[in-house]
Amino acid sequence: MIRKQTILHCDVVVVGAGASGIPAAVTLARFGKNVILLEEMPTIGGTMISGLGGLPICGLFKHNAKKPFELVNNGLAKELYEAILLEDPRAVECMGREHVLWCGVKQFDAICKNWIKKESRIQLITACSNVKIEEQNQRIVRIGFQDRNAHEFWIETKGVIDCSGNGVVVRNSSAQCIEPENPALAGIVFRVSDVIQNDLLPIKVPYILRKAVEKGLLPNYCRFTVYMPREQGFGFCKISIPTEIDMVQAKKVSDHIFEILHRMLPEFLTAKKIETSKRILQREGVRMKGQYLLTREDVSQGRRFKDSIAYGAWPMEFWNIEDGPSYSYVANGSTYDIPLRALKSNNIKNLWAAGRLISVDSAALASARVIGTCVATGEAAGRDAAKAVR
Amino acid sequence: MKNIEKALVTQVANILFVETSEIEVETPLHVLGVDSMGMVGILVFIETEYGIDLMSSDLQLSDIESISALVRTIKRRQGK
Repeated sequence: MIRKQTILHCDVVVVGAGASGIPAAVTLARFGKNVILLEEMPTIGGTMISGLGGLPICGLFKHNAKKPFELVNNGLAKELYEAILLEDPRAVECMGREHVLWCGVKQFDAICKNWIKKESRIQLITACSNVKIEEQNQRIVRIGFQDRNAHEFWIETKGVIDCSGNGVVVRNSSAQCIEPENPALAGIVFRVSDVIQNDLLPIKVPYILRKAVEKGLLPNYCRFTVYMPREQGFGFCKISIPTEIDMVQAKKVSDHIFEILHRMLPEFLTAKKIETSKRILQREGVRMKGQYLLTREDVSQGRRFKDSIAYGAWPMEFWNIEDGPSYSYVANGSTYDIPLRALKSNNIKNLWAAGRLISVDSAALASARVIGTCVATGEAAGRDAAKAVR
Repeated sequence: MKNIEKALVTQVANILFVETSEIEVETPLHVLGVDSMGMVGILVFIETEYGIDLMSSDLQLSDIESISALVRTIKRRQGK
């Protein structure tokens, strides 16, 4: 049997329809470029959606922000902020020394779909698999994939932006990569309802779990579980897990954690576990080696670059298996520059990366991977790719 | 009283990886940068050091909001 292939054409392929891929595609389209946006999941939204809306958007506001909140990046990050605020004027919340923006799954999905819908130049294809890359003279010339019906496609393209988080293009091409030696803990989120509210729950939950760990009831990493209360008795638990743990194990651990909270905390007596994230949320994995490697020093000193294309401000948030979370802030509560060179492949001429695939060391990624910064790097990659494929 | 305060300042400084001189006892701990996990660390420290299990009592957030609030709470419990 001869299997049919369909050939598609576009200016730029964006791989991954999440917090960086959607801004990249929208920016390209606004510059008049034809974009194909590929997504492996049946739905768009990436980690924001997989995280059930239990992860607030970080990295949007400057340090010690006061009303009116000063934004780190303009452009689509600002559009996102304004769209969310329109629905919920109280979406900004103080978290430690920083401010975050809460956005539910439905709202984020609606904003993203609205962005995409307005751009006729974006062709979105979800549930893609088996992505293959063809290169010529250090350029990517074709990207192959299968759609949900296992129909094979090849896209002829002038440029590619990898926004996939797990590095689909970077790993399947000859692009040079950065392999993390000791990747940060991954995460899984579950949502609860009917919790009796108590200001102390964000402390009580990890306290009870620490005691359970000390009794040998739970693995050590469960000590770093965070509880985030939401309105009307809803809340989210975020469990940090070692990267080698699979979804089946993670689900079991999350059930066990809920069962312990239910048994030990009066506030959880009537609580129900209503939803668990469908996949493991990675904080760090293989990423692209760019023309510049943004380092811990660059971030902590708030370094400036001539080819700066976006700003970061979120503290470097280290998630370590022994000690749990710790934070290192940008000097003087300032911001740092992300240079364009960190978004451009070191060896493939028409490949860009955005989101958590940019060229950064582990410490710099611990700041740059947050959603607010992902939006900004996605947009910046889209802008530069639009110029390059003229 | 001063000793408890000093011990807590050292504890908080360790959690935040900063010098003890940077810790102000009246400033809310979350403003200093102590997260929920850090708070758990402080509560466990108080349990082991002073034998006071704050969590099993009817604690309010304001009782543990800052180092000075913690010192007052510990003193109150010790007086009982």
